[in-house]
Amino acid sequence: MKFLQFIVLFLAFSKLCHGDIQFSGFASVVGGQTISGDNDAFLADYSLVGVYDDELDFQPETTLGLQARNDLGEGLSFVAQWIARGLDGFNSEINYAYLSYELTVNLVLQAGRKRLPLQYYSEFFDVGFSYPWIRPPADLYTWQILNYNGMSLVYKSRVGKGALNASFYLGREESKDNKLLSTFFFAEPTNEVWKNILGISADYSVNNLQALLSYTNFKLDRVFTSPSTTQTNLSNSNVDFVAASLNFDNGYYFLLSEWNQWISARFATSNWLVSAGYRQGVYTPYIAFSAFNQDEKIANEELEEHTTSSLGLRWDFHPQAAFKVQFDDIQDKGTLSLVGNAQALTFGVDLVF
Amino acid sequence: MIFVIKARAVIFWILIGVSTISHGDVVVIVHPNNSSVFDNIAISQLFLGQLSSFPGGGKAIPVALKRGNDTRISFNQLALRKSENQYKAFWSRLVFTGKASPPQELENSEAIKDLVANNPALIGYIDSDSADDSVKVVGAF
Repeated sequence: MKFLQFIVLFLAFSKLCHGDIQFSGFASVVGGQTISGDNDAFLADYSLVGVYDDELDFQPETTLGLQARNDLGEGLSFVAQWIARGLDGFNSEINYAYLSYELTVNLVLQAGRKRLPLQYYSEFFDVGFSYPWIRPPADLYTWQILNYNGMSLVYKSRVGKGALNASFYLGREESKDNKLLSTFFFAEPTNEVWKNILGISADYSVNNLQALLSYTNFKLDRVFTSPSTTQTNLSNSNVDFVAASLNFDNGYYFLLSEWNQWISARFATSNWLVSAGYRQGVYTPYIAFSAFNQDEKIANEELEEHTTSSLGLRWDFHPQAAFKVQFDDIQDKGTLSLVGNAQALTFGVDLVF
Repeated sequence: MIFVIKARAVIFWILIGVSTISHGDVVVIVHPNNSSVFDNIAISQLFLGQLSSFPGGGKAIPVALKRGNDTRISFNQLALRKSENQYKAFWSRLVFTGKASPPQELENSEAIKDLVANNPALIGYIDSDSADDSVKVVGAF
């Protein structure tokens, strides 16, 4: 749906329904360009193939999200979020839409279309206002599937002094002409199916510390639809994905970390991130270092390896908006050259409403 | 000499006391029938959507003051260790994943007290001067 038409419908709808429906949204207006590099290309967003070149561009990462939530009472609620991205010419699509039902005060059952919670930032990756950087470091968030259709069971409880949030999820996702695989990795139309997705994730917070552990298993079908294909289809290929995060934040200093690992028959990688920052009033300078390392023992082709060193500043100039500017140095070290080394500057405003 | 030192100590404690009061004392309140035992971590977890039930059981719904209110600023800083922006950023993770809605926001301490006094599922924070017998104080910052 064209974005303007969608906005008009959304506003009309919000005028019609008053009372129990809550409307909210977020936006990130981000511009950037490469400063130097091998090919003057900076791949900022793998999943959606957001690439900056040597001319200032606002398309790769500018995003707008609108949300409607309806609490129907007696523990039943429905939430839907539409997202429009510069990359897709601001065509809006449903990011998630699901029902929640409180089975007990601590246990919620959800069903519908959701974000797949593979890692710490997966579910709120698009909400720039919620984290310090312009984007969660690209080396760790390179996956071709972001959503799934299915159900989850969410449990919240106090364990010791801390709060435990655990979720168990299952479902499936089909992506025809998957963008990352079709336009970037294989340069051939590729259909990707993640089926029998089964995962568990547990998050524990106490005082200034937060830890997250998650494990997801699924079977992968990959079909190259072009008749002249040089690639081999995959069928029922097993994938194990594990992620761990440990974060410290005392309100002034923060230290954020993540490690994750993808293991399948023909491809394995382990990736990590460390980031630190200091809040001085409304200013938050930060640094981040992340790495993507493909396991050479499993690869039978070229190796993908890259690192990103980032330096940036977040300026909370308004209670609901932050300006950010970030410098990234990408080293593309693998025998499979993705986009080459690059240095890039990106800046933008993130807001929530 | 001893008298002088004592007098200095008294002045020191008065000054400390004054500075604490001028910060705006905040008390956390629940319905008088709520028998849960609270510590500061549990209070913070309830207001940050990390827990949805009281330590002693039963559904818990937090209510907050509106942005710009001094008592809200003190509570967020002392109990949650968050500035207004950090609070908003924290909640945006829960809101824009559809997981939870931030606490309902009311105009003043009196409005929160009236709601909490009539609903055992609520937990709120108010200016300590507004507290009375209609609610039970379970924490102070």
